[in-house]
Amino acid sequence: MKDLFLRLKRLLGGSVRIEVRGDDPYRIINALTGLFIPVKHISLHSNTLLSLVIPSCDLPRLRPLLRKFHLRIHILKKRGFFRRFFFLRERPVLLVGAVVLALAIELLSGFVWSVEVVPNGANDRMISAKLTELGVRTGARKSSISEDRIKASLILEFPELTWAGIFTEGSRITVTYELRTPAPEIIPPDFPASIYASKNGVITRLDVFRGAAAVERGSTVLRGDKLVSSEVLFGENGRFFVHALAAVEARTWYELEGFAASELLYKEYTGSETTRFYLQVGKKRLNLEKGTGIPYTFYDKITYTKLERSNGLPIYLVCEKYREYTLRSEPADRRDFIALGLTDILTSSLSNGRIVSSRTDVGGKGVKMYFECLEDISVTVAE
Amino acid sequence: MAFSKILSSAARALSLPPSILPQSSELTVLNANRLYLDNHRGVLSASSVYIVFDCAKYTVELIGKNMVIDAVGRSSAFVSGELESISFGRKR
Repeated sequence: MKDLFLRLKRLLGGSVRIEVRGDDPYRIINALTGLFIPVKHISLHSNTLLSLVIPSCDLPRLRPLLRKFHLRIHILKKRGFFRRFFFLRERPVLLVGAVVLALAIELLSGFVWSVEVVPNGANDRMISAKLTELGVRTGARKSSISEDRIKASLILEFPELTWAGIFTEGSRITVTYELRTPAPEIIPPDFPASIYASKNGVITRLDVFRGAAAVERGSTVLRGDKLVSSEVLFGENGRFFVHALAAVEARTWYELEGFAASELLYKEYTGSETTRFYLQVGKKRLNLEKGTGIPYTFYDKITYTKLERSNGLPIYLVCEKYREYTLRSEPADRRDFIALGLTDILTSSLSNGRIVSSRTDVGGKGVKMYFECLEDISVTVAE
Repeated sequence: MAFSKILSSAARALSLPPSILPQSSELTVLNANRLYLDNHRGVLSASSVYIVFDCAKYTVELIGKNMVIDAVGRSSAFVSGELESISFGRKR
């Protein structure tokens, strides 16, 4: 145990490099090893001079040996982990400042400095307002925030939310949520319902399985017209209601128009880049460089944040990179692409139908297309 | 003397390494620039070109250039530098 304490004392006390002068200075090596003092890095400069490293705490034990061997020493350098902080003895204010800074970081990390709502389709402004009302705001104490209570309050307040999560990371609170998926409206099969036209068109097929046909094949219908009625008459005054069921197909027409620029502009990067750094403290920007003007007319701006997680405080090191480019224009004829694009748009919008024929009118900068389609235009509506 | 002979005989009989004997020193040389000496009795002379270690029955003389005793303890020592020759001398 004593040996352990001695080793610890030597470790904490550091080491000292000394220069030994005199006749046959190597004699001190044997004397030191005889006292179990570890000796390291013995440089033998000459017959009367050597330097060596011994633990600082063993320096007083060296004095009697020096008298015995008629040697003189000169301390060259003192080293050690704690010795690095000895300069603070002469600068107490610095030490106090470091302690105050550490306390300030510890104190400030107990507060919320950033509240972020991850957008996912709901009204984030309303959610932020509710969070503020619930006490989740910049400057609030983290210990005063009850995550379970806030989650429950959010879900109760906003019925469109099905789940809410609150994640605390340092001094930052991130709120995420999931929207409730509305259940599809299902009309029960025994509930009276009629079939209506969802678009204008000419009926080409009408097979009624249940209900009474309100139009005939070849009829022109407008959006909202009743195609199959739920009301079925029998006898003179008798009637009953059914859930209408029919296969409906109609011929429909569409007119789509697209435009394209007569020339296209391309970016050509010149290779010049400029990088600017600044500190974002809260909402304030502190420039770290002189002259923040951008020397380019056309440029891409790429912004990324460094030191984002530093101490959880709202202090970010932001880097902005500017890449210069010039614009090159080329004449372009993209009407074929526009025609293809218009066809794709219509095809994807037809839920249950197909394009029968199309015609293209090219004029000026635009392309006009006429489509003739066959599609199901029926929609069932409960009475 | 007789005791050391008995110890030596016992070590041989038990197939033990002779380096465990109290009066035997072990010398390990690495790449002619690093030397480890175990079980020495002290430094008899030292300079950057000539170092002499006291072993029990003989001395170990190191000749080289820029030699440094990296570490020295009560019974072991590390020497580094450009070793040129190692010689052994009988103690008078």
